[in-house]
Amino acid sequence: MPDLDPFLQAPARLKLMTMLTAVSEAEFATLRENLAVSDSVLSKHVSALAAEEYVRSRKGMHAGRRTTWISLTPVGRAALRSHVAALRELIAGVE
Amino acid sequence: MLADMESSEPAITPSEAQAAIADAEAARTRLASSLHLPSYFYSSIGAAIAVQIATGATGIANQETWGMVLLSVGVLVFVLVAAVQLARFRRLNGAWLGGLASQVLLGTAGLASITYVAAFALATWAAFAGAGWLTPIAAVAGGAVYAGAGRRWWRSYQGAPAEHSRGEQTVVVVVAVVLAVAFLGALVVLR
Repeated sequence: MPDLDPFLQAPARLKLMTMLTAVSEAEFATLRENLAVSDSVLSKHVSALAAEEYVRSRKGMHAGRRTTWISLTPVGRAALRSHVAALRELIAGVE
Repeated sequence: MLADMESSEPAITPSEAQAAIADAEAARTRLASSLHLPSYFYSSIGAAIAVQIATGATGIANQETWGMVLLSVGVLVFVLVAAVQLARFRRLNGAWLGGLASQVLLGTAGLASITYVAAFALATWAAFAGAGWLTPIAAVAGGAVYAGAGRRWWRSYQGAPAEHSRGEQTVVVVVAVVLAVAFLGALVVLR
């Protein structure tokens, strides 16, 4: 049985990573609004995931102002796939 | 003892796992549903493709300098329209979709590619054969189906965002652009 990823056990991180599979890249504010969390909470999650190389963040421009764009890395995509597989096995184990 | 027993249990229960997956998938669906295409997206892409096919076919059939200029103007119109629409999408949504750029604008979706090649071939044949009336008809039909293929891709994306969000690999796009430039270069050299 694949192991659960400790870095993805926080629900907000799992949501963030899963949301990023729907886009190639998203602006910080777009993710914050969809996750319904504060700037600081999202910033902490992004920093933690970036430290594991699960996401990549870069500075850019949006609507004429400086902002941060975030995307999933191949490492993050593989980690998410493995974590979700572990969750599904856990569910399947009781069905 | 109790602590040992607790630590041997999974950190997450099956019902929590189910809820976590459902929440994450709902968040992804919500994000994909919140994305909107800029106004006149399909019509402008369809029109730009029609212009590109018509000018390209006419330019190839009349290999004088003005024909090459006409061909280049058609390509430029399409590139400008595509760039503007991508910038508007990014600005409107605060998100970038590689799939939209490659499948819808560059026409790497199967239906768009086949239709484009068929319409371009028909328009070019018509221009060479002196059936000039057929060239704009083939161009407009090609543009309409191209736009329709884009609409179809968008519906597929909304239904399964994770499967359709990513575009073609960079190497595929680079090879396509190099082939297109080489084709245009050959036309200029061999005219």
